[in-house]
Amino acid sequence: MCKYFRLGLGIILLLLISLPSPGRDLLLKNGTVLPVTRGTLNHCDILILNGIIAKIGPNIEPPEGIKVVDASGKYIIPGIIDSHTHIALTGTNESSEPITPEIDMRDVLNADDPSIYTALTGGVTMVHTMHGSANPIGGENIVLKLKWGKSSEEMIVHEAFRTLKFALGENPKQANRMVMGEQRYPQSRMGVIAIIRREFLKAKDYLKDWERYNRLKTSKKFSSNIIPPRKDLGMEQLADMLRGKMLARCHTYRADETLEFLALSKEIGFKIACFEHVSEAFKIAKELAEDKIGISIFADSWAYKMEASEGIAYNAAFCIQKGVLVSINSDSWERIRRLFNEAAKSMKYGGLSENECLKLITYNPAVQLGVDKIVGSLEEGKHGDIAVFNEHPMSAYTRCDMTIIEGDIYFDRNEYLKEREEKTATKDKEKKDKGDTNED
Amino acid sequence: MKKQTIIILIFLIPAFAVSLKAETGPAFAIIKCRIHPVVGAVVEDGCIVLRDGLIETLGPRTKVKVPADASVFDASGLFAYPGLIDALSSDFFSQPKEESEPSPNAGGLQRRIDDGKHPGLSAFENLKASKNTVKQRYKDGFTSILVAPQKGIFAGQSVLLNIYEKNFEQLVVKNPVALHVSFITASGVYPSSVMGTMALLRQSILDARHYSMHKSLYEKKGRNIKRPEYDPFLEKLVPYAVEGKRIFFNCQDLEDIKRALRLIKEYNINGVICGAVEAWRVAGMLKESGVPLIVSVGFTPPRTSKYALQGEKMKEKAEKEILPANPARLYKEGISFALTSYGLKKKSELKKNVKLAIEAGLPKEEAIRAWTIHPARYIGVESVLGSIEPGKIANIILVTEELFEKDCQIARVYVDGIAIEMEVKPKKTSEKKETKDRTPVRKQPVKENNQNV
Repeated sequence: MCKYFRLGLGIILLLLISLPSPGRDLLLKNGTVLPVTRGTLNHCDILILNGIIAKIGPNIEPPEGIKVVDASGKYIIPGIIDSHTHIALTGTNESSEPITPEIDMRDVLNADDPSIYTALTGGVTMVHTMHGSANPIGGENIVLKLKWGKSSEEMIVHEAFRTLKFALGENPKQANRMVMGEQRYPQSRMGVIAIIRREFLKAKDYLKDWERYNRLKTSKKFSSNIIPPRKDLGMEQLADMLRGKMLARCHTYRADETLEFLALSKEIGFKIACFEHVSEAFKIAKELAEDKIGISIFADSWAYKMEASEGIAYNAAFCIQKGVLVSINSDSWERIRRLFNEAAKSMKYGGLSENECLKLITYNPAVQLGVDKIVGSLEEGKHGDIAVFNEHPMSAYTRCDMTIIEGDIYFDRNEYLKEREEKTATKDKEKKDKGDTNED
Repeated sequence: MKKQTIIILIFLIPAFAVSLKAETGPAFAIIKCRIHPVVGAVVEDGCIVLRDGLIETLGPRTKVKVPADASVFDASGLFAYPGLIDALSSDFFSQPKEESEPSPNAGGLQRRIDDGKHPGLSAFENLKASKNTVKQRYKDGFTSILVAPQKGIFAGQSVLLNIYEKNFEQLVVKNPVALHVSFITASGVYPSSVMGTMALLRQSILDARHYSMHKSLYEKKGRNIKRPEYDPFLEKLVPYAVEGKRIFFNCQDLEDIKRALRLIKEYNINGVICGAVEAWRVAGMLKESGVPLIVSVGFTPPRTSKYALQGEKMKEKAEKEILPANPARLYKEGISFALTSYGLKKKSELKKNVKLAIEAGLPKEEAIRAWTIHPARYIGVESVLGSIEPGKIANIILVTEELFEKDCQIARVYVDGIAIEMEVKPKKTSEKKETKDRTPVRKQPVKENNQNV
């Protein structure tokens, strides 16, 4: 009896698992779809089944029981991707030491960070949340989907590249200038590049030690007297860089040190995914394009410190026109709410098209993070990560009305405003009641 | 049927216990009380016989023969429970002062780690007597306490003490109990971030394994093997990181719990999770892991928690409703746990907060187990503490009402079989009891020297 019961329960559970969960199906009706990888589609529907975009086209018949969102008059774009930020973390820098590749930002995720919700209100669905720039070699970064209310594990995007943070220039030089007492090595740009080179050379030796041990282990001469080398977590990370399993994301401003790092990567043999901030990128656009290295930059902020003094607002547009893969990042929990405004600045400064600007915060960062196969544009088979705007997202008057991740609605402006009104109403009522009794 | 078996067992156990006993000092009997042994059924009109600081036998008064030599205490109207155990505390612990070391800066090559010396810090060697603490602890029904160092990532090693006014040597039940680890940071030196702390913990465990393997190979063969460089830090870590002694992880927010679970799983550590006021949020993971849990009754939301980040109203609600429901929710998930006072803002809030947890749905019986047999199990002293059973240490409390009832007062405390009379404020209707036995009774322990509790 019990056996049959269990069997039955098992079958029911299996059915439940195999059936798409109700939240993950969604039909967006009659919107202006901006797929980014092709032209605008007017009066178009998007059907999401099981979290994946199943169909894009006009007049899609809603499957039975599916949630339908009327997007008439609205603009539908792929969820915005922030290629460089530090939200949803309980720490940013391990600034006590200059070399900390053993650090893993996965260890300090904080799904309770309200910035996740703030970012959703600006249409952001994915972030590359990173170690800070205090160290020449920082820690391993992580890519998250902003599934507010879910656990931190459920947010991790496993398809993304593994990336390690590097930093050049003023930040690593001056990381502990505020600390009393002695200052940390390195104190100069020469020192920064030297210490990175030194660590990579150490990592090469480390790899050799292990190769020697592994060779011995499999050979006939192996004796149980041979002790394996000590496993060093920092060196393991740099070894992964040398093996091509992890890519560099390097914080840099000046053209000279950027080229220096580029040369170092060739000398040592590791890959760079992207340079961060690099306000002088326009000076070296040719080199970046040749080596197919992207940049992740601010739209029009510069001169906030000495090394950023030669930045220009035309940086993004100029580099795009030279064939560099450019993304606009927030680097902030505040700017992340209005990345679409930031991207639109490149229409004014440099004359990029609307679609080119939109790419700066969708498709391009997706390529930089290695997730362009699953997100970054609206295509059948990609994840149902979508932002809905009331006006064209590159308009100055636009605002995000709805943010969807894998078919689940994580932000709905109308719902939110309704909730807020109700809350205020009850609060007012409470106040009033209290006031009345006081008068009595 | 089941009840009968239990009753039969209750009668069988004393017979064995008596025959196994080695010493035979004077006996004491507590009679006419209602016994809640925690393990086994409640006994009405019961009798407990104590000898040599141990529980010799217990049962209904009609069935238990009070030894002829026993001093008898008439406990009519009182309820007997095993003495409560606080599974994590810093009471009686005094942090030794540290000398600040010069920090070498060898071109960023030499790592400066703040916590190298702590795994060896013994709570036992840094105990300090406190008469008031003893008094307060008795008032709350505690007879045993796990005293743990609290500072640093590797805070040090804890000791389980019986609470009494004696030399600490005589009070040790188990030492060391566990290594205590916190997900905190050092200041100015590595690690200065929580991710750094995790990296340090991982590397330290790996190093301890490597060191232990190298050392044991060297000790076995000696010749032809380069001797390992002696490492005092790893020497102290090896028993916990490699040999399976317990590590207690201090966990604040739910991510701390996950961090601990990750380390426990990755390195097969005999871990215990402490604090964990947001444990219900990861109930699934905790259940799957089977890792023992010691839950705090301090209901302040952790700094990084959404309950602290979403305004004052939310914080208030969390303190009054959400976090107090943590134990009840764990219970409903079928997860057993011990409770601890560690994390309370004020020690005086203990009773109030336990009451909040019970009001939130934690059954009283489960609350009692969470202060007795569960902590005994997680500390590794289940065979000698945590219930009133023959052969166990005679740590017993006599109370005026059922435990955690509104007017419940502690009337008498037995620690290692020695009775301490407590002051009971008389209820309007009942009269104050008189003591009739000749057990060595002290009103309140007197301080003899500063080595005492």
